[in-house]
Amino acid sequence: MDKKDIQKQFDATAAGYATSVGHVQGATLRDLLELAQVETGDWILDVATGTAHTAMAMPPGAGVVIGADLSMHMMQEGERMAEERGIGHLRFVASDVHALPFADGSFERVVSRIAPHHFTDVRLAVREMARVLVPGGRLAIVDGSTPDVPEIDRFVDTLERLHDPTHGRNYTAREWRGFCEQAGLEVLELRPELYDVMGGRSLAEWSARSHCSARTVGTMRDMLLGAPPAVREALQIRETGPDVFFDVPKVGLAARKP
Amino acid sequence: MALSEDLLQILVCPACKGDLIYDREAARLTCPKCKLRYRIEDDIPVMLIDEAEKLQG
Repeated sequence: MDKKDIQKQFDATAAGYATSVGHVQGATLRDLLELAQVETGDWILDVATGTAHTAMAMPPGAGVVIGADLSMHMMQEGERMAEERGIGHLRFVASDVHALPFADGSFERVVSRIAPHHFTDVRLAVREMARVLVPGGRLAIVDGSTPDVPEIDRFVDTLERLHDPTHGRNYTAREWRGFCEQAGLEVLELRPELYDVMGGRSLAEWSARSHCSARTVGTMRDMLLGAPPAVREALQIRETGPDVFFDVPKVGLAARKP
Repeated sequence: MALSEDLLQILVCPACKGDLIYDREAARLTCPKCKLRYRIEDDIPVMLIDEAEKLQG
């Protein structure tokens, strides 16, 4: 999937992300903040910030917070919300994680939430994120993942790609450890199989946000309801009235630059 | 509005990671080495290599 397609997908769906319950209040935000351990005065880079939910959740005592994204529309939406809330330490930069426009050692923290599955070259992306960290700085990631079981992995991959054709891949916790170590980072904490709160995500809400066609929604619904038991359990699939609730497992990690 | 000083302090060319020249009037950031000029839109510098203007010479 090309970067231009990713940019287009998110430029077109920016408003939906600005108000999406999962993106605003999800447990993944709490997990990310725990993993990031932001300290007073820290300069923070939020990679693939989107409409800046993660960037805006950084403690007010943090130093400069930079939201970086490919999509101008997403960031303009974020800028508008940050202004409304009077968040003064937030800046935006249109940039590509594979070629970050920041000097080596610019940040104490680099974070990214529910985004790396879109990166076209995750190894290069992690190397770039490591480069802009100060020695002793910390990378914190929370992203859609998959248990290390081929049947579940394949199911998640098909479902995510139906939902959003720009979806790259959900990596396992083991793969994430590898990416960090290859980039010279020391993994401090790895939390596999995290779930969002509030009983999972609604298929109706999830598909509306990404402007899925009725046909695609039908296919995803059939897939979820017909899933084999191992997948049903891993994704916590539940039929509730006309809607289906489920959650794709997430992985959380904190890694340190030596 | 101008770009904030803190941002200018850490911004580099995404291609060569070299220093940039900031033209406040024209709202542009230029990399003299790569001969690439990056625009600034709504106070957001657009630091995308594909979208930079290529300078002659």
